[in-house]
Amino acid sequence: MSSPTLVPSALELIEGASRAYTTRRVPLEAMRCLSTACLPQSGDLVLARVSEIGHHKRLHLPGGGKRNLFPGDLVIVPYADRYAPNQFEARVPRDLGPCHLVAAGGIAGRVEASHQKVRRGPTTLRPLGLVASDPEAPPLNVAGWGLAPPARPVRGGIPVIAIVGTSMDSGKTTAAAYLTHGLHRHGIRVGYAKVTGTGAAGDPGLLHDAGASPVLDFTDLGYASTYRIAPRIVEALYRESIAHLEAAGVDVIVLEVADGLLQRETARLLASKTFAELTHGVLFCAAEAMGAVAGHAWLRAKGLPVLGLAGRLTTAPLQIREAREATGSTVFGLAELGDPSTARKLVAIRR
Amino acid sequence: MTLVRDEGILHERGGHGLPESFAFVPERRASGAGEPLVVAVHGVSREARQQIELLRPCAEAAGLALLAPLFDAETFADYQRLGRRSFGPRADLALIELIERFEERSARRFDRLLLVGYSGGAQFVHRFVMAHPERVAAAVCAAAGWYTTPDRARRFPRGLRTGGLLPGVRLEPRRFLRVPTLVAVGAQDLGRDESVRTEARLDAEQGRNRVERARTWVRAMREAAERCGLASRIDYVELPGVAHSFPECVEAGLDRVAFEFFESILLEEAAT
Repeated sequence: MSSPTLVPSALELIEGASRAYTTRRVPLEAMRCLSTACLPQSGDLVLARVSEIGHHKRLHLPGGGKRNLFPGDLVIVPYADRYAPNQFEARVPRDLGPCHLVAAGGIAGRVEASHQKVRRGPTTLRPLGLVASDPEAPPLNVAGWGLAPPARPVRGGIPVIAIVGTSMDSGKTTAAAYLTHGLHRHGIRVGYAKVTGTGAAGDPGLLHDAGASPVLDFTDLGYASTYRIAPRIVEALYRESIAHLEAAGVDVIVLEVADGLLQRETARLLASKTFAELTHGVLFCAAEAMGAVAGHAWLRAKGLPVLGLAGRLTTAPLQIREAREATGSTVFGLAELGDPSTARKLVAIRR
Repeated sequence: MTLVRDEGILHERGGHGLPESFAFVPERRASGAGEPLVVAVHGVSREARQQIELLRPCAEAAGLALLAPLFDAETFADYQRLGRRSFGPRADLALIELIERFEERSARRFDRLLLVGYSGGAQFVHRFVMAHPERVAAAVCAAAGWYTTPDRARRFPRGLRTGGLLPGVRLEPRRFLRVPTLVAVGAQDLGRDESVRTEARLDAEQGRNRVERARTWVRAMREAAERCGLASRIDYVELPGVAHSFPECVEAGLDRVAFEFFESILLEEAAT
């Protein structure tokens, strides 16, 4: 007689799953059951089994570490849209059918377009159900554990430096980290927030190491990704990030806006009254001189106070010279951003 | 800012993110451990002081302190829906902070809330209960224009899926259905003027007027409680001969019904 097969309960499956960085604010104790009665919405947590390993071979964990993925692994990730020109464009599917892991920070979505370099295709997931605390409650959503809005609106008076760029991988986060480190070495308390983008452990970890405190990103405000959210919500996230950092008593606020100036949410935010009113200076990052020239002109046409240029172009002396000559703007390399006196002067150049 | 007393009604101006408020503190306190606070929430006509004036006799008789925030239209334009992200500040959090300030001013400590809301105030009250059930001992929702249905599949404010609109808030039936709730409405509150949201989908789901919508919501809440296996108390009363008017509802006994409901809940609490 064969022994009976034990089917693990939903709770056992949940407890045995790897939770992604993007779910870090949701306590495991809240994850009690699975629901297949609701259609997925952005931010909903899904328990899924890894079917096939593709582009993303590792998953960022709540503590900032990473783990390798294998077929058959269970993961808990939120659904969200993804914008990554160098990887994927993905949307929240309208069903609980097979989908993809579209970001290493932990995002479930269905890929609609891939960069040609992504030869293996995305890592595929087979959802088992939306994670809920109770069969009658809505699925758990990362927004339920976002920071409550700050008690006070933005007061102003603290320098707010926005780091923006031509596209993803233009050097924004590295520039933000070196600027933060330079200020930190000068004894200045820097608060950092990444206000848009896709949740990932790397950027907050880097800024934390650079000396920023507190370090926030949009996942703290209840979003796993900000792609395709309404412009007024993006503006609200910008305001809330500043208000939270102000309340923490920092001296300078460094805010990073993800992706490039042509990305929809970024473009609308930078064109908004909110951005113009709350931002004292913009540091523009580009991978090469022509992008720097175009972006510089774009920002100046909107009347935004460009403090200077930075980013990957600063690895090439010829690009630095071309960008400087074409824009008349100062170009800051990492060594300069990280130099306490330069960083201090940069923050002082503001309206 | 200081409390100003006018004919026994305390008034405090708003500012720094807090709404203006009116209050009444009876000399006699209700017996029992801890002290509850009655919070009365106005409708879109924003007659906060009138609420204090009309509810004061019952509050005085019951020995219960009474606080009425005034959510001004410019700042708290979305107060009925708690102040969704990007629609304005959070009215629920502003009320919680206002209560803390009122505790300081009145040198009292209120350990739980008894909420009563009329019209738009009833919208605020039932959504506040859903968002902060642990703070509320009982609630009276009178003549709400429409309701958040205890439906896990629908988006807030029609249903419970708040997404990024109310960060930090989770609407969980098993928590909020434990709060005893009395739904009241004037039996003649059948109008469909500009103060009633009239959309085909809402009409189809909740009814065409406040009476139909109140009945639909009571039924939905009772069914949800049954599915959760909770012996919830969702009471319902229609005030005969009354249309949409807070003073007329009070004249028809809304104040008495509400405070009897509150006192019955407090008595039950004391007995357990």
